[in-house]
Amino acid sequence: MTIRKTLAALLAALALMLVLPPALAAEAPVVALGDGAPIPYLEGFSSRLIKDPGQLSGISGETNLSWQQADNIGAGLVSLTVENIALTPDILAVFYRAEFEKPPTLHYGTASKSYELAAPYLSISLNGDRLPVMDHFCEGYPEGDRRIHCLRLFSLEAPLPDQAVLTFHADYNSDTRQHDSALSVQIDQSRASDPTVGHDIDLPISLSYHRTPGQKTDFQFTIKRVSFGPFGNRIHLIIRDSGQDSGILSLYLKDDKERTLPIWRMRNITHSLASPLNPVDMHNEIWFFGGEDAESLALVPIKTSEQTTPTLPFYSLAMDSAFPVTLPLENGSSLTVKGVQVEESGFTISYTASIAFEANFRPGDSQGQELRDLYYVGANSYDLPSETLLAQGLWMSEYKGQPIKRVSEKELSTFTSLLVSSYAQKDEMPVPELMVTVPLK
Amino acid sequence: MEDNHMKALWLEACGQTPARFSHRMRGALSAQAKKSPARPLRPALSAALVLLLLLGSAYALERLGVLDTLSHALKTQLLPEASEMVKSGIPQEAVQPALARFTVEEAVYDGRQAYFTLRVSPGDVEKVLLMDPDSGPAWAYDWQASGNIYEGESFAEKAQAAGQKMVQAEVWDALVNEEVQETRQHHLRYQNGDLLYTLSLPAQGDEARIRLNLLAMDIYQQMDESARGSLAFTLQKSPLSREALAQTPLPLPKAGLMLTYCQVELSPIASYLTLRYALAPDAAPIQAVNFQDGLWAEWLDEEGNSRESGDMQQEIIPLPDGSVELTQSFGALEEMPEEITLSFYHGMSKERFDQITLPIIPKEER
Repeated sequence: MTIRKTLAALLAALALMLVLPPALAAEAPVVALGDGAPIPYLEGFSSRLIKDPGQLSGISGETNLSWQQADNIGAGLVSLTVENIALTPDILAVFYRAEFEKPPTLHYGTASKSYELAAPYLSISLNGDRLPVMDHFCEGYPEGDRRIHCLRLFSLEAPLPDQAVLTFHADYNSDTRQHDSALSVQIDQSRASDPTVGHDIDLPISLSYHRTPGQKTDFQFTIKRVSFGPFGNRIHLIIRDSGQDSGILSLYLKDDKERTLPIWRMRNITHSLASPLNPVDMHNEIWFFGGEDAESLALVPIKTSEQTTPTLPFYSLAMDSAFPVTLPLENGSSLTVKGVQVEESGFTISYTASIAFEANFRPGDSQGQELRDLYYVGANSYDLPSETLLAQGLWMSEYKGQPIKRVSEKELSTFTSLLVSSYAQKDEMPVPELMVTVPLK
Repeated sequence: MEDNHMKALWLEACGQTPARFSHRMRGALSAQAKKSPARPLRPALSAALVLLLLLGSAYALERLGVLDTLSHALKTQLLPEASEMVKSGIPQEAVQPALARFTVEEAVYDGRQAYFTLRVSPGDVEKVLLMDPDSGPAWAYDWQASGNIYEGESFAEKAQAAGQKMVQAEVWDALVNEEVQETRQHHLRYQNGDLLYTLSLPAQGDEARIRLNLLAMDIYQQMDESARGSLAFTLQKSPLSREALAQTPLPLPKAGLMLTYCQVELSPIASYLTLRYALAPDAAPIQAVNFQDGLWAEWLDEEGNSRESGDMQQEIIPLPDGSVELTQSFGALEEMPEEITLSFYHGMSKERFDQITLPIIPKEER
């Protein structure tokens, strides 16, 4: 009797598993990619995450999913409405708006970073399973004091299957161990027209060299795919992590004409249990500017020396300089400062370099001395349309709903130069003899 | 040109070499040049001396006790009575995890902190290779001695060669007198396949009833209940502590704070400073923002230098009334000072605010 009951329960569970995904799909509204519907997020706003909004019409579709969840920054409940979804083999983009019960906390006053931080998280599953995401990028802008328009990009480990069902989960309830609610949409890609130029390469690469003095490391990785899409250009890598530092690549990127392709994001996630006896394949990615017309890409490994020099600024740039200003670095690369903007919320430096974070900028006075009393929080981002790296210093903060400036006008008036330093110029040397060529055509 | 520029920047940042240092260097170099060659020792005598030194070092390492392995600030300023407070042979009740055995070897409780050495041994020496929770399988097994995680035989290689499981063993959390407390690690040593931790826990009252929740897990297996364990022991307070208080409340106008509590406690092991402060009612918005960011205080010595902290980690604890509490430990003091100098600063920008000197009155005189 007991056996029969158990068997019946198992069969019922199996039947449910077979029926549930189609049932989920049958009930879910369909988002037809390439439907030509307008994207409200882009009305009157220029996104720094999108290369050219005109490229989205073939890959985006309209939807209208709404739910409520607790706000992740403690402003009570927030109502979310997903307005559009766009999809490429590399990126899932979700355009949504968030309406807060009370004005959300703006950590850095009216700086764009505040809206990025206030944008509610999205918890999404794919066909009832984990969405294979590597990284995510976000931006937002306000409408009034309680509404934020948000864009969140998820970079994908693998393209989503056709007719994929995406489920948006509201808050996770730790008492019931379930999400309080879930809304699904089915993605119809049949009418989509994707402008992404993608190369599925699967090129295995082995490198062995002394990246740091006295430390020879064997690197093994596969260039899985190179793509040039509306949300940026990406190399998808699978790095064989054998522990120690074999899971972390350091390299410059060039095109076939030896032009540097600036890297704005390099993901190097390693596995804590990896060892030579238990290597683990890790999905990682490199996001970069340019190279759309290249016939091949070149990966140039970097050798890192022990730090032997003080990291003092090597250049003092007057704020009224005739930008852009290009500063050559001792390792053969260069750094171009395109401009400096000082605003109510802080300052922003637009620049290009071989790799983001290679440059460090600090406010200075007319004598080229660092203004140590000027307290700010650093933030880094990028602007895809202008292919520019952004380094920001944010001095605003929030207190009782009011933005508070951490610096006085008097202190600000002394900010007349920009002190530029770089670890790269003395400590990171390219090793061209180990260069790896990745053919694209 | 660039080298000269860098030199100029270096000089600007670090200043000229002090003359005293230059003179000492020159003196040392000329003495070295004049020194006559030493008379060679006989080989057998040299070998005996080396052996004696090695045996002595090994014996010293084996004998490291709780006071030898405290953080630098505490260890270097211990009062002679401290050694009398140390207890060994402590009665303890344990439910051991399947893969490791935990034993408290030495402990001392001064009324503020319970310090103890905890030895972890493999459950089965032939089947288990112990690791601390911060190390990975690719790390060199002797990383702690060599300081290099990349060079030498890794945990994974050593375990494979011996057919052992890699097991991370640690104190997961701890309760003192039924309350969860943060464990602080002063020291970790690998010793003949064992791990020897020196830990401390905040405690109050005449008796500290300590329960350690233990974890020893095979890093490649899903954790189950057999990986968990517990160890319970009780320590009595040593009656050697003294305490003094400053007169409060006291406004700190530059920081926009009100100091509401300032207590100094002395034991032969450490001196403890407890401060409580709140945002002043008339504080400016920027002062409120600074308070949110985190305002810290340093205890300055007679020369105005910051006293070295004995804590590996420090935190500002928010209290229910909106104020915060900051407790720090420092090296032991023989006498209770008559006054204390505090300097308040912003934790991130390092901007300095009020520096105050307060008389402190011993508890028995209040």
